[in-house]
Amino acid sequence: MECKDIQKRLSAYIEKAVSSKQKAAIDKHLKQCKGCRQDLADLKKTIQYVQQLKDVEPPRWLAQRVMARVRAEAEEKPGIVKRLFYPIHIKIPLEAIAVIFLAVGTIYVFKTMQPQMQLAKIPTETREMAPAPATAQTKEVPAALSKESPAPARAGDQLMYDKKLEIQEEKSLGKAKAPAAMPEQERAAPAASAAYRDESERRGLLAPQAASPRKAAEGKAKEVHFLVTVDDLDTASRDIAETLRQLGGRAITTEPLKNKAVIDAEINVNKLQKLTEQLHLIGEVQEKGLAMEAREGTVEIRIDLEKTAR
Amino acid sequence: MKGKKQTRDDDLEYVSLCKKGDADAFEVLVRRHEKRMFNIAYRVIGNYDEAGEVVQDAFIAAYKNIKGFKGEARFTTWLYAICINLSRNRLKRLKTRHYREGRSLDDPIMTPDGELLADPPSSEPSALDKLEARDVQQKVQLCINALDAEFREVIVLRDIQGFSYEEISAMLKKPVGTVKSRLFRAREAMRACLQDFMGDR
Repeated sequence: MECKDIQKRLSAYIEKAVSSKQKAAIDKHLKQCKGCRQDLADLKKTIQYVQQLKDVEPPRWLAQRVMARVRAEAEEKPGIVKRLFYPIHIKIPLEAIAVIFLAVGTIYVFKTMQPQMQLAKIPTETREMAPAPATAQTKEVPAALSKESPAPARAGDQLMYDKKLEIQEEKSLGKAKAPAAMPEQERAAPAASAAYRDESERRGLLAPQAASPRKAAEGKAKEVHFLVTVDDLDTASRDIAETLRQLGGRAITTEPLKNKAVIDAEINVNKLQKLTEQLHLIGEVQEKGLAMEAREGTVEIRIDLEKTAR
Repeated sequence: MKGKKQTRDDDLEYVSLCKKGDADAFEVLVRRHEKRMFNIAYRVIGNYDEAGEVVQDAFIAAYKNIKGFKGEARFTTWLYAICINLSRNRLKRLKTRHYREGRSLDDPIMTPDGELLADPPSSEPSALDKLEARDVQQKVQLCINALDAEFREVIVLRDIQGFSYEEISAMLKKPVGTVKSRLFRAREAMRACLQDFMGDR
């Protein structure tokens, strides 16, 4: 081994941190090499000098100052902890608020959409079902009552209901914006008679305001019903609409049809008498369903306008 | 060697109390280790006042990060590693400042980097033998101060503080082989430095 290699290992040699093989080689070299022996001696001396360095005493205030800072830190700690966790504190409410908003929003949207859904539902339902009672009655009833439209002489109740029925029929069709459904109605008619009862009941449930003729006949209509016979439909419906507005009522729908018009409205019960008087001025009035008069609040009214028979 | 071989880590009991926020338990640890902490910092930095600052910072850092001590090594190994790191950083800053302020002519200029040439054999008694005891303390510290930080650390930890290679390796996060080779070069540099002092006389 060269002196250079030996010197590199002397440090470890002193600490007996060399392999026995290396130690033997170093021992052998040191016996022959005075220079390396000197180096070894110097290195040992150096280490000795370094090890002789005495420990110094730390400043007396050291521990005190450390602890003063530590205690200050410990007191501050809640603040630090609070600050560190502050985002989390605010985050949880934020998430909760978000969830609540979402829930409320969903309910709100659902609620606002519900009437639309019902509205959308009624026409489709009535489009499918209305033909049944309507046609069923026209096909069924003649046999029993021996009356039909070519009997204007029969201006009795039954006629009126038939008319109303037809108006309702047309109205619901109009609402559904499906005039094309007419053929469907014709097609549905023959098969419908059997299902008449069931469906008229269902219809009553689905659309209480579009009360079935049967229920109207039993005087269970949920509205006040007028049949007004006038000379000029357009003028009359405008007048009625105006009258309703003056009386604080609210016209819901006006359905102008050929030779007929249907006005659905809401009006305060107190104004009902006034309305009746006004209607008398406009045309020949027949009143129905006045049993509800005593009630308070608003009442639904239906005004069927009919052109005077030619 | 001053290193005590302990099979049990007596500090752990207090460490776990510290983790619960017990400042008094931490005080026990501070009192127990301040001297050694201070001597490590002092020997590495070579400045008494700076060492005091560094040790304070090291203890505060240890207190703040006590939960980061998982007990994989001895508590002291972890604690002294903080001290060594902060000392190293302080040294770097001081050197930059020192460099900016300009060097004094009296400063020892010794940069023991690279391989050292073997001194020519001499028949005279080694110059090192002439170093007088009263000078030794001062000269040795001056020579340590002349070393680069990485060499100071191993000299301080091994020859002054007497830690095992494994402990030093854990503190510096360097392999034992690296610690050994650094130590060799540090000792050679120390030897050269001390011989230079003798030659100057």
